[in-house]
Amino acid sequence: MGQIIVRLDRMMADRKISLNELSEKVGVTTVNLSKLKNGHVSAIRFSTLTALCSALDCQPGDLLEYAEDA
Amino acid sequence: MENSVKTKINTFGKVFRIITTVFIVCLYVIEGFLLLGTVLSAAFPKDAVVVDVSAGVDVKINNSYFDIDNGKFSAVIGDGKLSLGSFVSDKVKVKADNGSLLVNADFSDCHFDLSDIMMIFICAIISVAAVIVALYFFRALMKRFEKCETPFEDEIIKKMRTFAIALIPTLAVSMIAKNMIGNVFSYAFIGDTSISIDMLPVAFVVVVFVLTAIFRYGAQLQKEHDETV
Repeated sequence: MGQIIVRLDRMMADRKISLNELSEKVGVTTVNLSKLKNGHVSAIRFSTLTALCSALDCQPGDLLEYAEDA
Repeated sequence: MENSVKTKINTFGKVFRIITTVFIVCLYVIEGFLLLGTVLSAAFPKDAVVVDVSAGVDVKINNSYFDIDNGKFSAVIGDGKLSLGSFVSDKVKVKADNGSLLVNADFSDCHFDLSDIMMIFICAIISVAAVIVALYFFRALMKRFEKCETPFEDEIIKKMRTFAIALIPTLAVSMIAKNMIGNVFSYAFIGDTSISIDMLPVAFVVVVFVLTAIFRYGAQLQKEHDETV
């Protein structure tokens, strides 16, 4: 089975926004955002995804990507 | 987890750790007295102390109140001895008299010497030691509860499982020791021995194992919760 890759780092680089700024806008701690960015989480709440999409002005598909196992 | 809930769990762990420690200390004191008793009973010849029990019981079941048929009691009476299935006792005499059932239990000839008393001490020492070991595992569990952030963590599950497993030999040893003590008395009084199994401690062990399984599932849910942002 493949896996979901979080492209948060790419979107943050595109929007030129730091982790601290995003943390303030989204209301999620930098620790949790860092975990999300590095793929160390197993689930994401719809509320968090909504807040991220709102803060980064993007779609969920821009943040999440499905990749087949090599 | 809410801070007040965490504080309650920590307090629960602290209180039970202290209670368990007090219990362990008390059991060590009891163990000391039992050891002293064993040493003293071993130091003297076995006829240095002899306990003779003089007791007898007469029971008469009156036919005027109960419908007693002699034939029905032939299996119980046997050759004038109490006979219930495989249990036959020389010291309990039973006879049917004019429709009444007379039961006479005469314990006047039973006595214990120091070897019997030493046997009881040794069994009690083993039994108490087994309980102390189980209490140590319980105390380690409570210590973890005292410091935990959440009760659903791997360390608590491990300690709970260890405690549950430790209860099995504790239960077995206690039961064997208790049966041996009981048999010293029952052999002296009724001339027979028997084995009994207490279901309450067995049920307790089962409950601890079930709790471990529930906590394991709780830990799994906690992990999922922690990994969700």
